[in-house]
Amino acid sequence: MRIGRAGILSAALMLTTSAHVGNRNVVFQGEAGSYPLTVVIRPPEVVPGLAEISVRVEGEGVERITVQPTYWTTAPEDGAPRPDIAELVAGTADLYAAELWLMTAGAYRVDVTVEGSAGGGVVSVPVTSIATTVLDLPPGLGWVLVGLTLFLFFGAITIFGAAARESVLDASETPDRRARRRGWVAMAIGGLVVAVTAFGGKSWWDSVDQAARSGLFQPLQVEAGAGTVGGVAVLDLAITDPQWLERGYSPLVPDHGKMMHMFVVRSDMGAFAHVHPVPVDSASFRVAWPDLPPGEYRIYGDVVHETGFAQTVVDTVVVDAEVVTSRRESSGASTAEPDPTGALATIAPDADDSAWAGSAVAEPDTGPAVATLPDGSTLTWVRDGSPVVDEPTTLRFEFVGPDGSPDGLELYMGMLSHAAVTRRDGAVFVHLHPTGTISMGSLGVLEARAEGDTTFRTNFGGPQGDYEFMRPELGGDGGEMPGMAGTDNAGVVEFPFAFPRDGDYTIWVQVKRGGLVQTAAFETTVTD
Amino acid sequence: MAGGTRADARAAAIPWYLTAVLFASTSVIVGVIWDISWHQTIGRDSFLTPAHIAIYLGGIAAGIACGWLALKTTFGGTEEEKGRSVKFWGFRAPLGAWIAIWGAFAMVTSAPFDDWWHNAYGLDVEILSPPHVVLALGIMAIQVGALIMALSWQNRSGAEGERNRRLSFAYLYGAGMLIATFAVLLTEYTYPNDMHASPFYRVTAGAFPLVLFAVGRAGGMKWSATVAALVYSGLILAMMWILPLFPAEPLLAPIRRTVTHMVPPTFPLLLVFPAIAIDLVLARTGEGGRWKDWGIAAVGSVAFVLVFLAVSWFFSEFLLSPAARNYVFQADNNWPYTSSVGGWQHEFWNEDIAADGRITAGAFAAGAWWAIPIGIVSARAGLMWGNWMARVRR
Repeated sequence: MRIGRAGILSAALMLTTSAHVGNRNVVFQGEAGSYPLTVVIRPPEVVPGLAEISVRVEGEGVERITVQPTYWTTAPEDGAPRPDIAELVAGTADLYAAELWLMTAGAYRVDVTVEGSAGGGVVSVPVTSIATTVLDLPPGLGWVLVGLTLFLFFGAITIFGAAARESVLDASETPDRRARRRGWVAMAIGGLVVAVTAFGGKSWWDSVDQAARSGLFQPLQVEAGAGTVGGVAVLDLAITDPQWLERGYSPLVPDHGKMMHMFVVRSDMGAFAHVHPVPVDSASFRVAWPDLPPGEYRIYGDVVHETGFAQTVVDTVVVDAEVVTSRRESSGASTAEPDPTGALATIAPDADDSAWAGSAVAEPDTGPAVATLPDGSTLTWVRDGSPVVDEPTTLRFEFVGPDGSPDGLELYMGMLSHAAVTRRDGAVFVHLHPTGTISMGSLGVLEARAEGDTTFRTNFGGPQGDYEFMRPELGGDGGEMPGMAGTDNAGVVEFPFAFPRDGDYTIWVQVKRGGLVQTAAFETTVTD
Repeated sequence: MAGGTRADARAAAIPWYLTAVLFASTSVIVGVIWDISWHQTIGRDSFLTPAHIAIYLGGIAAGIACGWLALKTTFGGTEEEKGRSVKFWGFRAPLGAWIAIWGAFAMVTSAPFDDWWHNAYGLDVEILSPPHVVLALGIMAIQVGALIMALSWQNRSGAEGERNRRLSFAYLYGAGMLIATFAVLLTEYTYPNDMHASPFYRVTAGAFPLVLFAVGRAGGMKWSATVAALVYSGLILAMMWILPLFPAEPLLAPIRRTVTHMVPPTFPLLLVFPAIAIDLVLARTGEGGRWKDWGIAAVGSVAFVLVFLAVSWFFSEFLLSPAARNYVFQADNNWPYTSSVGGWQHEFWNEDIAADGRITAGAFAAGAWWAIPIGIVSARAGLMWGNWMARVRR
């Protein structure tokens, strides 16, 4: 067995901020009763902090919209405050806004309830609460504070002097030399005391600041490496994070049937894969290296913890020609070698794995962008101008089969389509579903807990597909996940999203037809 | 005022700005206790909660009253008025007014600092943070300013009678408010559950002899420290009995216990008993002196620690018992919505652990005896402060 050393985390990848990389905003599309709605949640950067929630509702007769946060350890009936009413935003007819405090780090569920004449309902949106920044003191406020502090400092010294010099004199007396000297001594001693106090206060402040900065969320540290096992090319991912190794994290649970959804993106955006590594032991994952050319790859692994906490682990790996050659020779995961330890079972082929190499469809100045899929179908990005930073938008794609018909899309892991969005420098990576940015695994856990199901589920129970804790409703490619069809229109797949930063992006859209997962890639430039 | 004329009444009245700073002194501490209850009950707040308004109203009242006094004394004061003031950067006002003005500025400083602090590091859940300490310093400065203003009037007038009685009470009232601020700052160390552990005795010996000896020495009345301690107890009891009358519910998740009314503070510390002891020590020892005051501080510290230990030890057992879980004592009703229900509520939180890992009387004694030297230093500093306050005339 030979495993190539992992690359070093690039600085851009360190910007990881949530279940995704470089993206904090949660966008969710669904239906509350008979009301279609889009929920955008902007979580705070500090904990505790204030999350901004906006809800856009379609349909007539909306009477009331409420939002309610529930922490993962508690149930709404006793652990959540009464719901807050989202107010209609002035100048709009269908946009409602509210603010919610997230008091603790960890997974929350925000329930959005719509009441209306057409029949209301509830949607649940998982939100990960983590501290990601420490705000710097704005210079203006800094100078105001410096000014006030100087006033307080010299004011205190003056008061010490006045107290010692003249406070005990009769009204008719004037301070004599001795009194004045007493005043100076008091000012000197008082000044020293105030200075020491101020210095102590500043070092206290510094220690709080340092603690806050070191307490900022960091995803689990991992180390990725590409190599060969039994003649088969593999990608290994080891969790090296001390907190994980000391069992400081809660175990992982599957997300639509997979313990990890890994996206492999070559640094030049010319190659992409969506694969599903399986556990080798409690701190390492393995997957057969997909059919991709050599190069430097960014690795993004989406995992969900038992608490509903979702995160993306990141690393960079250099894959050399030797690995790629061994893959070609072994043509995937078959091997003639004996397998006494069962290690090779971990690289059995997974029908949901898929790979793509080529060049993305460049963004046209106007009009739609059309990508041709391997089986001759086309996927057209119906664009409405270039996307704008932070503006909720719907990425809409229309599928047409080789026969000219929009029919024929099959469910891919329970939904019509999966998409991945990445900024060219790797600083942003988001795994999108037709419901938005949320992790379905996280939602499953939080909803199960809301129903009172707090069964402890061990994470690494056996070979893939045989976990006793696997939840059938989240399972492989069995059926449609609730609310996951995406749209009623045949051949149309939509992803609600808001780009978190400006820059050049690549969007990979994956659909399944004829049992084959097919990928289209589109370029776009997001403006501020 | 038996048979008093209007002139008598005017002569006996205390000046309006002294009333204003005493109001300020009350408003800030009432606001702080209210705000703590707010955070334990409701959690969610804004700049304009009633508790915050009470705090800032106190700062504004003190700042305006004393600022006006400074301008009037500087620009329109009689020779006599100027004579009973001290200089500050060319302006003149009584010393207490300057201290209160300084306090108002410290409060003004803390507001934007605190606001930024919440945005930078998250909404705080502790009482003690740097911006809160700046606020606390401002609050205490307003209270000390009120105290000194009352004292300087009392020390100047010297005469017996209605006015002196009123000024004395004004002073002791202000002292009671200051004691309440000390007690609130120490809340995290002074739950009934802490009272079988030595840190409680060390912390209280560090804080309370300072203020009780200062008040007792400067008061000029036989039971000064006792009256001030009674004022403190009255304020806390009033807050403790009034707050839970108001229905309220938590508005933040996660909620870990059911809270239906405003959470009251815990029953006041039984400072009245060591205060009686301190008044007796001061009455018996008479006039102080540089070295004699060390002796008084030593005797006083032992008296404070022993009396306070005796009453707190047994009273805390009562407060942790089911017998105290009623409206009068409000025991077990002081927990914030953020804390999980548990047996710890009714247990002593003992931190005195011997080398073998057990909680022992020896370990308690080894930790608790330090309260006496700490109390001596605290009492001696209080006597120094009191000696100066007894002579303040401006």
